[in-house]
Amino acid sequence: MTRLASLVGVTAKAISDYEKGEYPPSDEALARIAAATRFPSKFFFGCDLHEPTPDTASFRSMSRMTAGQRDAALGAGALAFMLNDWVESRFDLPGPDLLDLRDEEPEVAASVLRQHWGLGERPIKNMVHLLEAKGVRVYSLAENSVEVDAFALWHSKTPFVFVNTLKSAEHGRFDAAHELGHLVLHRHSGPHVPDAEKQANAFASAFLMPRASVLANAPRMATLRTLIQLKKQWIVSVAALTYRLHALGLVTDWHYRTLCIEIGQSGYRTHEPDGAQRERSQILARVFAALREEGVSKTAVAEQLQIDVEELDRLVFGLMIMSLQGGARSASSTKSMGDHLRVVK
Amino acid sequence: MSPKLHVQPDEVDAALSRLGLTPAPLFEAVIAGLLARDACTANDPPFLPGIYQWGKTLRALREALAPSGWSRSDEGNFCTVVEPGGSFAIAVASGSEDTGRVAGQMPTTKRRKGPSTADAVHANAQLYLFEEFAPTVTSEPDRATWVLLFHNDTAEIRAELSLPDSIGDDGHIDGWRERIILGSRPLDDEIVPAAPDFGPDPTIDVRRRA
Repeated sequence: MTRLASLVGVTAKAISDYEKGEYPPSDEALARIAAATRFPSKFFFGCDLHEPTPDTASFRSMSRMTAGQRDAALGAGALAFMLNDWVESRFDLPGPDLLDLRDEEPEVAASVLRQHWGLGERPIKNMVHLLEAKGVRVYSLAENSVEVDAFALWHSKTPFVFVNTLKSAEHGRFDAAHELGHLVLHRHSGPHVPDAEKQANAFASAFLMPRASVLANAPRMATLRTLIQLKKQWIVSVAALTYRLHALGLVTDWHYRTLCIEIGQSGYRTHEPDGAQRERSQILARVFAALREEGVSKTAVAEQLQIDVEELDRLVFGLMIMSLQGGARSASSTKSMGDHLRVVK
Repeated sequence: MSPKLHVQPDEVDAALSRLGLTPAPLFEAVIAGLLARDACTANDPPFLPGIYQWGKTLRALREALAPSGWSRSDEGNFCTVVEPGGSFAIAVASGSEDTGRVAGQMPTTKRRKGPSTADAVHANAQLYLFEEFAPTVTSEPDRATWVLLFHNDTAEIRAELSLPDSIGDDGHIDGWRERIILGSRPLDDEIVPAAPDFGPDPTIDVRRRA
């Protein structure tokens, strides 16, 4: 708030008073707030947002995040709700088909959900498409929050998963499965039960790499060379596969530790070797294609939502192939602000 | 002279226990070397995997034995791990395909060894010559040097801990006084998975509301 105040050139108290509705900002202050936050001025007079709160969202690395990063991520969540409501008022999307598996062990929960969805023991080709088909809305985290892994939350009856599309495809798939774990294991308990993160990891591991499937394909001698080939079977990271092999007793503790050291030394924790292609959203592609056919550009959608087109781009970043038509990204944010800024009197 | 062979598990255990060893740390060191080798990529220079495998096997062996009081020696760039009493040491080397096998030829070291290795092998020969012909001599001018010999092909990795007593003019160790066969572990040749049997990639119905 202090930072915003200094950007706008007013006192922190003034910002607080604007927020409480004590008195409205001057036209000049409003224009500067719009510029500083990169939201059109109109946005600040829209209806109240259903903003997600830290209590309802599951963050993987909450402890690593600053409060600012967390709030930025949650803010992106609020925009996603708006966009989603707008889309759902115009398109029929699949309804949620999740189970409440809070009493199950993660390994069992993963297996039960697989059976429920008719997946058997087969590897999953596309996690984003699977989530979307089962009624989970998938959006991208804001570009600027690289430190946030992913999070999931419920917006009334609709489950949302936010993925960080800056990470490797394998990492993104694991995050998506991890958040699916939170959705089925921790819906009513909230994410803050002890071991929730561990459980979601175990769920993701078992969901992406079912036990029988791993046992059938396990290497005789797990080395980085063989694991880099084998990981393509489930489209997982070499680190995730190594973890799974150890969890299933297919490599000894000593062997696992040694592999972890090799993975770290090879830099594979930050740069996935022989990486897969990033997964994209099917729903967003279809929705925006349909809108385009009707002559509705992304910019027009952003205007209707009273948000900057760049905010809209961030929500779908990495999940859609960006189309230049109608949604051309301006060279600078200030310039694009100029296109939309209208002070409402 | 044909070497004294230890092949059956109880023979192997007994022979190793005489040296204050068990099979586990020896084979784990061999696997550690293999893991290091297999962490190399096509972008590493072609000779690196071999050096890496040798070096990491030695390091893993030294690390595994350090808690029991073993120490390292790099004298004259002849790299070994020395037992606490100093009476013998272990070097590490890659061996020919006969490594770890009882049938067939006598294994040899794969790479040409330098003068320090030759000295150590000659010392072994001397040492045991004394033992045979002059058993009363107790002062030992040199320590014995065993070799942890490993060999991997596409199907398996094999190892043995053996006491060399002959080295050829070409620098390859080619004669052994005693061989403790440590066995083998299977390897995967190429695990190029057949196209994974993926579950269906759903087509999502997105319908425009009327």
